[in-house]
Amino acid sequence: MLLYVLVGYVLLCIESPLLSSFHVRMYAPDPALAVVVYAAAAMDFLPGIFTAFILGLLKDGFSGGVPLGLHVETFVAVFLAGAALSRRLDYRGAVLMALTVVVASLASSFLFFILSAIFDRDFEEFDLIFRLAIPQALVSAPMGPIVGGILSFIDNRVLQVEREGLFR
Amino acid sequence: MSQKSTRFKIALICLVLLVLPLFSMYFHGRTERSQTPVETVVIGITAPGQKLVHAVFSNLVAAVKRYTYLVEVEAQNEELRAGIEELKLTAMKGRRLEEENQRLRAMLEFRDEQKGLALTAARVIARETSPVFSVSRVRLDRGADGKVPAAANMPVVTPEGVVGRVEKVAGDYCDVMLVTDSRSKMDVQVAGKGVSGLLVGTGDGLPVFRFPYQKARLSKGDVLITTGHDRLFPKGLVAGYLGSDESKQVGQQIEIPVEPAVRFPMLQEVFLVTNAQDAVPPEAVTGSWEVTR
Repeated sequence: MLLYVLVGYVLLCIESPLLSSFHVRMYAPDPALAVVVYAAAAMDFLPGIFTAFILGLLKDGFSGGVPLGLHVETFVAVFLAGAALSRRLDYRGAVLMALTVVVASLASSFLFFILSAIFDRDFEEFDLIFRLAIPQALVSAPMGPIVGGILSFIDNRVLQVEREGLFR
Repeated sequence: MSQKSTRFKIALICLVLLVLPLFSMYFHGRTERSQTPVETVVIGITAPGQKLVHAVFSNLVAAVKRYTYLVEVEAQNEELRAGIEELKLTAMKGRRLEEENQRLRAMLEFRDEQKGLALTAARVIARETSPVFSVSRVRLDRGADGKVPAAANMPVVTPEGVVGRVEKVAGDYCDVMLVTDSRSKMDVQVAGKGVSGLLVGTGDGLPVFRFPYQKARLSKGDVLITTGHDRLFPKGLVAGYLGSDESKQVGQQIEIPVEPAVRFPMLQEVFLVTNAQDAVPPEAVTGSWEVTR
């Protein structure tokens, strides 16, 4: 769980300056969402949902300006949906992972809209959410396989270390 | 039973994790409120990471920008260097042309002044230097075959003064014996002083002005001009300048070193005087000085 949170934290740390450097802040991919989607398929339920919760909190911290809890709610909801989906379909392959991230991104944009409308009294740019929903989903899609690859690699290394010891 | 309670627990946790953010949003979504401890903690966790990565990226981007800037500067530098070389070359050509222009203008003026002399321009194509690196002989691009053929003993002059006389003519070229040559002798007088004598080449240094002993106040810089008495050089051309206040007595004669009027290493264009013998004044046919032809 901690490793997933750490990976999500590092990706969120990198995301902001990276996007500023390339001047693509408007169409920002969401690596934390990809971590949550992968966690829903790869982790046990309880550690997974707490991972989603913590990543949501971190995302709120990184976002700034949104009411605290907005991304927490979104990520927990996405995790629940992902966990339900993963019981029927293992989507950890590259293509399915990308597709799932697209759907999750669209769903999170919709949730973002609803929750902002209800709870954020200052928020007025509702049309922006809908205008950016599809581009953001599309740029987030490649993050699925990338994040999945990283987490899968970490999982395998952890398993290997557990099996063979750190200093084999 | 235990499976049921586990499911219940999970459902409860899900409910809590879904409802808790709603409360948080309700509380934090208010327009006017101060920062809560939860926000402080979350920002305290996220800000250092963001700051660190931002610093790393900023430095990285700055380094890349600096590198690309340096690469651009280097390319620009090379371009400018090439431009400077080209400009230097152009400036050098310009200076050379200007110098040539000045020389040719001076020659034209000289030709206009010397109406009695038939002057044919010639270009120096080679210089022979002596072991002490002084020019001992020059070759001109005028020979026996041209429209105005060069002939032996023709005086060679420039606007500055006398260069020497034609020694040999071969084909399209002729060699000039300079006034510094040990075989060269020229009848001259000190302008305004009435002292006449010979300008004699020494071969290995400055020529000397040799004249019979007489009381005269000669000084460095006095101009020596041709008298025409030698029937070789026309009258009134500058032959050189006295190079010293000191004189040396050699037998019955006095010698003073002379600075030639012409700087031989810089010589580019000259005039051949093709009617020198006609231009010699009649009173100059006889003279007390023997001149070697």
